[in-house]
Amino acid sequence: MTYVTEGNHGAVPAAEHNDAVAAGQTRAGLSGHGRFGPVIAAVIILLGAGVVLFDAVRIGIAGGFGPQQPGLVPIVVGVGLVVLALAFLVRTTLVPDQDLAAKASSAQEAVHWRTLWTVAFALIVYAFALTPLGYVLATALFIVAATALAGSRAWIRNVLVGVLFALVVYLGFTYLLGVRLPGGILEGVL
Amino acid sequence: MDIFIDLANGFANAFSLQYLLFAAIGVTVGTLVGVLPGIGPALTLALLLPLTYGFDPIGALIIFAGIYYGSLYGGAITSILLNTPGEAGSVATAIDGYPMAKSGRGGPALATAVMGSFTAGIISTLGLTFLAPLVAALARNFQATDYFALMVLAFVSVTALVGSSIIRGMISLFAGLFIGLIGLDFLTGQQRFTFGSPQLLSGVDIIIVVIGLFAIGEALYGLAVLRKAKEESIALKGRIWLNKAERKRVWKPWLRGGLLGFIFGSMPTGGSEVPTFLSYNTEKRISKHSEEFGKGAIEGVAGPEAANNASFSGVMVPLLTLGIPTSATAAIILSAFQIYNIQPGPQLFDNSPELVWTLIASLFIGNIMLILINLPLVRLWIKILDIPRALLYTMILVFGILGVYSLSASLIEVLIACAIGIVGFFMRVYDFPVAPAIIGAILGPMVETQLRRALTISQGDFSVFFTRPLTVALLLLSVAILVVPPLLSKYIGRSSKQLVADQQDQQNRMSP
Repeated sequence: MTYVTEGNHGAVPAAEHNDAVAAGQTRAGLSGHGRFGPVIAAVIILLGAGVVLFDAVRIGIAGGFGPQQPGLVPIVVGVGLVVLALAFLVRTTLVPDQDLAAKASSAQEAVHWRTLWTVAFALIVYAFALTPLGYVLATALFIVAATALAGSRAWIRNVLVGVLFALVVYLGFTYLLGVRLPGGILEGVL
Repeated sequence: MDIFIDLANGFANAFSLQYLLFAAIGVTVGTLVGVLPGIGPALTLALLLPLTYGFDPIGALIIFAGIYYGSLYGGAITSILLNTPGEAGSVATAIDGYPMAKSGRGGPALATAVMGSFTAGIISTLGLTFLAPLVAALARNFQATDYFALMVLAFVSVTALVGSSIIRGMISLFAGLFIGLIGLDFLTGQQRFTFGSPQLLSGVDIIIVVIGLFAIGEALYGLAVLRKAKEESIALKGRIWLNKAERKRVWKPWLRGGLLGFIFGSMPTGGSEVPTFLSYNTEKRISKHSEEFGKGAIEGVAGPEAANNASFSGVMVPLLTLGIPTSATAAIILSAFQIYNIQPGPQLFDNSPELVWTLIASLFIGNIMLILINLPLVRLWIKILDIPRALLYTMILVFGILGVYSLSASLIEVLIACAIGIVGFFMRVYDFPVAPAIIGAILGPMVETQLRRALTISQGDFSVFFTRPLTVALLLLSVAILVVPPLLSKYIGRSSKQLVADQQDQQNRMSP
């Protein structure tokens, strides 16, 4: 049985299993990903914070910044986010946080990026397919696809689980809980 | 004493067949999700929240509380046998629990964890029984400024004491506050942060945030690290019981851990991370066997596991008496209260005594149920560890989408949840704590309400926050937590990191 070795999760997954090279890089904090990943994250956070501050100013101009007016808390949150994002950017560039760099690079080593992006893409396709295909078909297909993308090769098991799960949820929600899930192209059959 | 009469009434209710069944369902589901790696109580409650409209509030809260503390029991099994602690509170358990399992003493380690959890659960529920009415009585005199200061204190302590970086914790908190502000202003009806989208007028449902951050973020992370990770489950052999020598070593750590967990849990310091490491360090310092720590000292399992479980009842004190959640799971329980239009706070004990005391009585009953379903059936729970991970995480994604979809049947909300999930994934990679975001999103609107209420009463004069002694004391305490315990948090944080690192080095050396 290969089940148990199929995967791992936990707060301490990465450092334990890294090969020697990755572990060495982690300790020195020199991994390219470990250095640039947090910088990119900081820039994105700063951009988001800028949008929030901009909109907070707009809210305040429209409704007022006074104690009982709608602009007070948004401007506090907007300024706070920008200041914190700048502080984080400083901690990733000028005064680098070694601890974060080490953690980020070991986490980045542990992640299989193609799996992440393909599964995330499949998830969004699944969301769009729910109504046209119907809950049962879309869910069964997604379960088979996502397990395959994550490296599972137990096709028969995954297809069985996918189809049975989708059917049970659809029938249970429709007939027991009274929640309508989309029937889609199987509308007349179920 | 009134408390005993109230509690007796609570027991009379809790022993009704329906509530006994609900408690049993809650603790069983809780143990299950505790055992499953990657699924925690916060995520489970978020997924179940939309399905509870059919329950009465007491029944729903008995189930939710059961899931919360049941998951703390189940988490010990995963920590000890797999060395993959599901949440911060059970990291300390794995330090000595996993080496114990490796050397063939998994049974006593599990028995210590379960019986310690039970001891601590009873101690801390007693603490809750007697402390909560006192706090509620005190809180009757609280004014808007006090509530504002208390929530600021909760924000600060959740952010500063949990996680490793104050900056990242604060970013997470402020992002949560931003999400809480989206929608119509409650006083003037002005649109805020809606960016022209009519979908956002009613705000972002907290369930979507929780499902995105916990369910989708966690499942994406689990799937993405799957191909490169290997894990080794330790088979369990021999007795699951404690012999005389072991019993002698563990009962004091149980009591100390239980007290630490309850005391730290009931302060607004955010859950179980601080008391579990405090307990571990205490046991290590005062033990006669301190050289065994890190290699399988039974006290190192007994203390932290007791502290972890006791912190649950501690967290219930500010939640029930002040309406202030100090952990992500407590925040979701608060939103369950809000679904039923019940506002936890000092009035809860006057307005809904039946609910409060039935819930507290069910905690005693639930803990007894947990020791019964955990000790004899532990081999059954271990079987669950064999669930293939790829399938497990895929199912979490499917449940997450189902949870959002059953709320609103809206594609936009499903896509928002997916986007939040991808953010949640990167928060895990770059070590941003998730709990402050949830607590910010739930408490943010309440803080704003109290702030503006206080300022309305004072006619816009900010000095009200500096004239009431209690408010000033709470705000000063918040500042102190931000400024002083970088010392404390560094001490606890560094020593815990050091412990984990040492343990990993040891394992790397052991396994070629």
